[in-house]
Amino acid sequence: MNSNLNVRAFAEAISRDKRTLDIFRCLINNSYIRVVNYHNTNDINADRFEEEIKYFSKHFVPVSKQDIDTFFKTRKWPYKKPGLIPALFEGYRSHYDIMRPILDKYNFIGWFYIPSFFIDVKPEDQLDYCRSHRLRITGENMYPDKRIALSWDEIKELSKRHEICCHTGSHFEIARDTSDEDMYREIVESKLLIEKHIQKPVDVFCWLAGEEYNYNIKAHKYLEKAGYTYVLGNLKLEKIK
Amino acid sequence: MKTIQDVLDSLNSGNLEQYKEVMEYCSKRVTSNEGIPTVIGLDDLTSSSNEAYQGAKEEGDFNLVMAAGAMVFTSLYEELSPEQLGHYPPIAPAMSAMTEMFFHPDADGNAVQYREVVRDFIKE
Repeated sequence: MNSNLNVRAFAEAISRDKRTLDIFRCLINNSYIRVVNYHNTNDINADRFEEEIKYFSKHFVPVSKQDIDTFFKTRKWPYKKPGLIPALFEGYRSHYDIMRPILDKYNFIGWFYIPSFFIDVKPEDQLDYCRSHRLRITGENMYPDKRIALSWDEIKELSKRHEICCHTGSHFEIARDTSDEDMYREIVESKLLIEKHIQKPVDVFCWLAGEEYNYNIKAHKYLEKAGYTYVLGNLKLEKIK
Repeated sequence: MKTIQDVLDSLNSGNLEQYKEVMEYCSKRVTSNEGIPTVIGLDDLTSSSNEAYQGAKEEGDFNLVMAAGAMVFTSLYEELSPEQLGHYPPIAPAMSAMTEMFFHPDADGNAVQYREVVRDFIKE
């Protein structure tokens, strides 16, 4: 790595990739949001998580999907303070036991990204499911009953104060050559399953290894068929409906 | 750093050590167990409006500092191989590193680093 950087190299670097320019545009145009991504929220780190959420509650406002809707509609952030989204990935039970009480204590809104088929896996099979579906569980010994996924009752309870989002059905990486059958299952059926249990619409879909919406044009018809409003990738939350 | 000018001055002076130190710090975070901050774009693909967005008042023009910081990090991550980047585009780790370094402005407009939030829990 060079010890310094000249401005020409800097300019070339930012113009080489459309995604970089896109993010530059969003930042300059005040169209962005802070996110803190969590996966395992094990009890051993509970004090750290509380310190973070407490800090967020002082310096930022919680963000609901409705706030994002309002921002796009009015083209203005509706609060004096910027927003921050604690994003919880993979549907782990510790999100309910450890993170939910902290979020509720500080009146903050979590966005929970659920691989919905994981929830229906039998508790005794969940650890193997994690290992075979790229779910990097680290709190597998927290619970004697071996259940490490959220239950549907817990997700329904979470949905009362937080945002429930779909993270495919089986933590499945949708590629350009993914079959129609797999796309329907992972994009549409996964959403319907969550909605059946929480009795609310699920409006946000999150890719694995998140690319932007236009990365996968073939997936558009399934995202539209399912009725999603937003698609989340690594770099952007995109309104598609 | 207080303004976009400070970021650009650091470019002109070739003083990138602080950015590299943040990249080193980021590479040691345990992403499966820790909260990892980033900033994502909000993009309305359904809108035909050309009207610019207004951000939070308390943010001031900190978005310009973040934009410049993100681009500095992008140019530095571009020097790594695809294997080192985990096959993500350089802008992906750059946004996380930028947020680590420029998490939000304090009352005087100076950048607060994310590690300040979790300073009691960082293991040396």
